[in-house]
Amino acid sequence: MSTVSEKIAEWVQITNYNCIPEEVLDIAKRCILDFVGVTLAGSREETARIVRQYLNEVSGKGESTVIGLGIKAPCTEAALANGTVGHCLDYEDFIQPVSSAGGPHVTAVVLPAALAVAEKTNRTGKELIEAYVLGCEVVYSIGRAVEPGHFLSGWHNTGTHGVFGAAVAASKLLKLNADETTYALGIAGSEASGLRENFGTMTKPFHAGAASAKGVRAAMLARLGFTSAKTIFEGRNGFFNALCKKLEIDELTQNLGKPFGLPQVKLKLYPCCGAALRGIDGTLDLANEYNIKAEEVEEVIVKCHPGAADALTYSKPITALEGKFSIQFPVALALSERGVTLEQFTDDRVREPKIINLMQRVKLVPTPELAATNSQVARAVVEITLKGGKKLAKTVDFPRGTPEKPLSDEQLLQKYRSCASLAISEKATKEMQERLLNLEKVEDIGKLANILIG
Amino acid sequence: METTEKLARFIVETSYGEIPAKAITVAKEAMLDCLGVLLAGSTDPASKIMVSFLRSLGGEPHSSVIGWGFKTSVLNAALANGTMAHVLDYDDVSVGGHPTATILPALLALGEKMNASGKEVIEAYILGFEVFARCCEAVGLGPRKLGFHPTPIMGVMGAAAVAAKLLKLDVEQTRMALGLAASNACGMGENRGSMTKPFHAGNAARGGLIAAMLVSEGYTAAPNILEIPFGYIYAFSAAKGYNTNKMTGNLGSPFKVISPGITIKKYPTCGETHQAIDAMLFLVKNHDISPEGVASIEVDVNPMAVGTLAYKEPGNVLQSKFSMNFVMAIALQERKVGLEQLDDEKINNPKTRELMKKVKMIGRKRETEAAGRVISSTVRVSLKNGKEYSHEVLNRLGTPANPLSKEELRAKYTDCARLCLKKKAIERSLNLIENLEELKDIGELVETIE
Repeated sequence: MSTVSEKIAEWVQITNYNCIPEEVLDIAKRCILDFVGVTLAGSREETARIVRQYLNEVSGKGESTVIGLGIKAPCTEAALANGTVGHCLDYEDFIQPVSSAGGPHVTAVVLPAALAVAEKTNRTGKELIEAYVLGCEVVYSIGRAVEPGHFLSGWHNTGTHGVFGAAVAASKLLKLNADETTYALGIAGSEASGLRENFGTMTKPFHAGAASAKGVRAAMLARLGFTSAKTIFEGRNGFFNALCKKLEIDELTQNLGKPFGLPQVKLKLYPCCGAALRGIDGTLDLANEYNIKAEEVEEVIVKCHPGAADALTYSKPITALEGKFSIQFPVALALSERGVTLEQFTDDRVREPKIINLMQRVKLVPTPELAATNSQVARAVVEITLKGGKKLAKTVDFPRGTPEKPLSDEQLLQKYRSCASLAISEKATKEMQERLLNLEKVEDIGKLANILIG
Repeated sequence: METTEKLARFIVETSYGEIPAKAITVAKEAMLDCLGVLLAGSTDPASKIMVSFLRSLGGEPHSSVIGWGFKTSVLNAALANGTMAHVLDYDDVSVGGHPTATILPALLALGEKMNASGKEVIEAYILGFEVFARCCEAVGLGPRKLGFHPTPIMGVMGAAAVAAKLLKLDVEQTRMALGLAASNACGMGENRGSMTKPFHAGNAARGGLIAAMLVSEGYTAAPNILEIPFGYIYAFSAAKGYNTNKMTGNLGSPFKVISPGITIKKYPTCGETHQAIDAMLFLVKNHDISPEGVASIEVDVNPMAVGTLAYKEPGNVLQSKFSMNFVMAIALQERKVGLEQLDDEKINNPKTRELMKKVKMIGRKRETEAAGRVISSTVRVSLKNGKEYSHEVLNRLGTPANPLSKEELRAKYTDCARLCLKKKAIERSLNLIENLEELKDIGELVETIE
């Protein structure tokens, strides 16, 4: 009788690029492009400065690219850096295998591991996509098996589930056999960590990077003959017992790739708290539909469920970071700029008289009836009153970027370009976009990575 | 003042001058013992793989990989040295885990890079141990019941404390270093008997170090990880609250290295087998029992140990350390349980296999009235001629209540170190550690054992 990790390892062995449906491949490429852009943008943040200093301190063989920081590092350290920097703006994708639990930032933990190993071993674009999709699938399946209990107990699943996905991606790229992959999962299971109490600090993005690096290390050690328990998931002293309250084991062993979970991924269109997304969408829709000019607006009321309102604590933000956890600032931007983009999240912008004037007109109203129920998804209502007295209203169920309302290619590319151009030249931004959109045609990830170094 | 802050303040404000002589002696003995065990473990297959992996990554040559003669980054060195220190499962134990194999590798790696003095090393060790022991007491049996391997769960916190002290972090930074370290705490009990168990010790040393290093550069983490609802305690014990006195009551009076103190391992096997080995060796020697005459062996052990000692028919050296059947058989045959007894040939010897079948382990709680917590182990040997002998051991050799003598400690160090050091280096390193407080730069000691 095979153990859970043996079954996963077996599936990883037999599943290859050709088994992945076209739709999943397309979404994979979109996520990869999005992540690269967001990481390039993140490379200009304080978190990235510290990571850079840390890399200087430990140093090592320059074999894998650290995106946007102008250096290469040992593959484990590159995974650590890219995962941490990629997650620090909270602007990349996430996935929710079970809707009542916060979802892991799946690309931020799986892709850095895959990228670092693929570069070091000169793998092709197809091999990178394949490893990335398999890693994501394992993260997604663990979520289905153990959430929401795991998340609600305080674990940050980006770290705790992500480490297995990173190990799978690295194992696939290192061409480990089924036994070695099983051992890699066993080592990774002993590395599952990350407490949600560290949310709101730099340690949250560290969970993504650390798990990514651990996955790479687990696969590399297993390849050299390092051993671990084959019963890491279901054993008495294993992952399920220690970190999970609920367990549906079949989700993890029977349903891998049936169908793939990646199409459930959510991309963020706006660089701010997820709770603000519906309000922003509603405002933008009304502004575009009725061609509202900022100076015509008398008042904006954003109604949302109390959970979302709780997260939006800054009604009068004075820094860009506070603006991320505010409804007033992005709504003011939406009205004045008809767009909410990363480059507008600056301290100067938050303090501009025109923006302050608009922010004063925006009210957030917590509305319990708008919370999710069995028959209704969570929603938001935006009501705009114009100076002439005209009232306009819009209800939003799904923010842009969710599977129900995916980003258009143009939206995705615009986001990517605005992010990437913060760190690399226009030429490099374009070239990278071209390559990533045709990733399956790239022959050597090593050469691709040279553009990413920034 | 809240719990994490109190503990952090204690780490920051305690200095060498306030530490009693007894604590310094215990610390030096533990460090000597751990270095010996580390040297002996440096050639183990798991150590070789770890070293070859780390070599492939490279790293700024700041800190030595003991026994291998090369330097790498502080983090890589801590990972390698911690793995090697724990791989033989011959390193010390206290409260509920292996403290020194997690604390000392972090301390040595960073201390070497920073040219720390012997006094600074002793001071940091004692404070790191304090944090290790207090985390242990605060979560109690929680990690073990949940399935975690307790050593790295406490070890990462102890290692963070050690690094915070050496890096001279302030109270706020030390709080955050503990907060980040808690997010690095991991290690499953399921990996006992595989190479990943010793990896846990190295990984904890590394996890604590990286936490303090990042925070020293300005990285942030939760400052209250020891008291918040879903923090460290809940994650590793599933308890919604706890007696915070366990974490911060009577800090330093006495220091935890003095009470409950440290148990040095006399035998290179899982600690849960030691009382039984003491008892078996007593019986064999006192009654001159020969293996051929034995009909059956019964061993009473701590009920919590039954799951840990899961290997009835161990297939390799790692598993044999967790096999009551094997250690009883080999003690009976060779009247000694040392490094040379743990050998694939001996494990697979048909005569030993035959004896192993005669061993029966029984989880039995037998608490003494005095401490109420000390659990004894009794060995009963029945001979084919009908005779029966039985012996009970309360405090095994090496415990604070029944400590190894100075000579026994030196003998174990020498026995371990000679696997990779010349006689001169052994003597010199022994001397340096026994007079550690006089050492100006820990690098000098590392050089002799590198």
